[in-house]
Amino acid sequence: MLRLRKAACACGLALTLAAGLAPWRAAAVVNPDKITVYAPAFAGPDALGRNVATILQLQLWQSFRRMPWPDNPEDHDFGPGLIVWDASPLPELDHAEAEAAARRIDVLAQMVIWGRAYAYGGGVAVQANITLPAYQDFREANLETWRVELAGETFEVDVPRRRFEVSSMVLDAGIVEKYSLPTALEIHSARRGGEVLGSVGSQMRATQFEPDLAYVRSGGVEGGVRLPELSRQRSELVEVAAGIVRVYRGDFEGAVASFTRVLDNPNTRTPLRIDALLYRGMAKERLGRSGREDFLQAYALSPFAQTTVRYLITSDLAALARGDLSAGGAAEVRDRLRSTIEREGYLFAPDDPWLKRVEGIL
Amino acid sequence: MRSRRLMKVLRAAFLLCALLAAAAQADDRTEIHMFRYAGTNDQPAMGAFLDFRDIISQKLLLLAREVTEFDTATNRLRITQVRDQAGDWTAFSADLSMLEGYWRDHGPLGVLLGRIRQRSDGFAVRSSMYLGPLQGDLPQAFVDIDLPIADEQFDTTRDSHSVVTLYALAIETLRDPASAGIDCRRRDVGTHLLNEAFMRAQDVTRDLPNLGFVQDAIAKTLERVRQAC
Repeated sequence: MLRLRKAACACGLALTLAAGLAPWRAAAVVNPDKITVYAPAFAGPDALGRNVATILQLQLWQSFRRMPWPDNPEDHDFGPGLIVWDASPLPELDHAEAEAAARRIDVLAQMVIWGRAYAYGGGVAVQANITLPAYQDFREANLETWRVELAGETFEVDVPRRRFEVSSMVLDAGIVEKYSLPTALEIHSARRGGEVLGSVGSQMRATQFEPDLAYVRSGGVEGGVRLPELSRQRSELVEVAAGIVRVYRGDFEGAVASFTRVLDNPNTRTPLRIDALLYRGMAKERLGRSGREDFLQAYALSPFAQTTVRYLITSDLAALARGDLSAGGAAEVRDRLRSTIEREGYLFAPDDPWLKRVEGIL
Repeated sequence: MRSRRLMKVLRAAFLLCALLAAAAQADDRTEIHMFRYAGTNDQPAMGAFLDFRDIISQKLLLLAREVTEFDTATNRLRITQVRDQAGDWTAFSADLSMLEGYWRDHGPLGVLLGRIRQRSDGFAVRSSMYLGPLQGDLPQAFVDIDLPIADEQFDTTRDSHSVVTLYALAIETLRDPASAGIDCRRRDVGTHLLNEAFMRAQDVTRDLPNLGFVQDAIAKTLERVRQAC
């Protein structure tokens, strides 16, 4: 098992994701917990699955940041992030297997990224899956859960989905040829040109990153691994995973930026587009802004989902809690809540306790 | 004395629950029965067909795990190959009108038939899924899916088969055998499955506009659930 540890200071190298330009000031987020991503190699022919997974995990690692940079006026501390990388694929390619791997005491991961490279129709398509296991992982904050306090009650909303896949990546023929070799992940002495010092072996520690380049130590050598574009069409995998990790770490500005890129990607398929809207809206709400526009867009794409309706309702509850009300005031928001429940109540079980509690405060 | 009687009652109750659970399991339709497609007599065509079978089989197994938070019966969702007495994967050779009898007697969720065709740029597949009485609001019991077997079609191939499977699962979940109407007690599970189908159907309709009628059927069924429940 390999471990990629990212020192907090490494964030400063080339990260351009700081989106701290908003005019308001949010309270400081201090996340006491470490957020861990477990990243087994992808299954697939030759060394292709392992090498593709390594490139994707290094790209994900580039998105980790412990605090906003270059300025951190609110004194945020999103806590440590860690990628635990495994040179072997999951024994069975299944969400339950991924959850079991995450729960191992030497892993305790909040996210598992796993997948497989398929030979199909004369090419190779890589299918990645994300599993967000729910279990007692000894964290204190659980920042991914959206909580709203209102009228002496606490209303909680969980992440949109805990088991899902992202769009496949169709690999270029050159990528397939090159990265099927076990020694394909070369460690270079320089960003361009230079000497090949060795290749990534069975153990690796990543130390710093630049755009499209990760500095690693492996097999007694230290240098840069170049991170190529893998597919003909840009995959949303890295941005989705980055956005979710940022939500778990309480980096809500960073999450808004990541999910905006997911939504700007024309290749993002509808189920993930809906998730991205829900996550982005929720991140905005956690920053003290309304996420209702995003929830309404998600509702337009998925008008029959209990999850979407929960987010819409919670947005109204949050507006009541914040006192951030439209011209019609609290009465208008309460009327809207009643109308939503009346219209969409059929999506819930007849005795759904969450919905009953919402009805109870109206 | 009283505790012994209580134990007997508890044992009888346990047995009744176990029998009911077994009966429920026996009734669940969670398998797609796949006949060997026509046009697979030579090695390249069979190779293309096996790649196609692999990606949709893997997808349906994963799909089951993606939606099982609500219903453990879907955990058993899978594709099984229909074999003859010699154990060979068999093609469907009878008249298509015999399919309803097959569906009723063998208990699948749906039946997959089809044909592989050689084209100038590779192979293409016509996949027909038969849903029998689970057609719900679809205009017919067959849904035909035409696709090239090409890497760019990977997502569409998997999503199109997933949508039809999810729709059949939803109808199976919601149908009330007693009244031939909708069983509102399972509306949360049924609407969840329909929504999962609806989300994916939007991408499928964009890639394969001739399958727009499936998305329409999903929306129609959801409206029926809303009105009934």
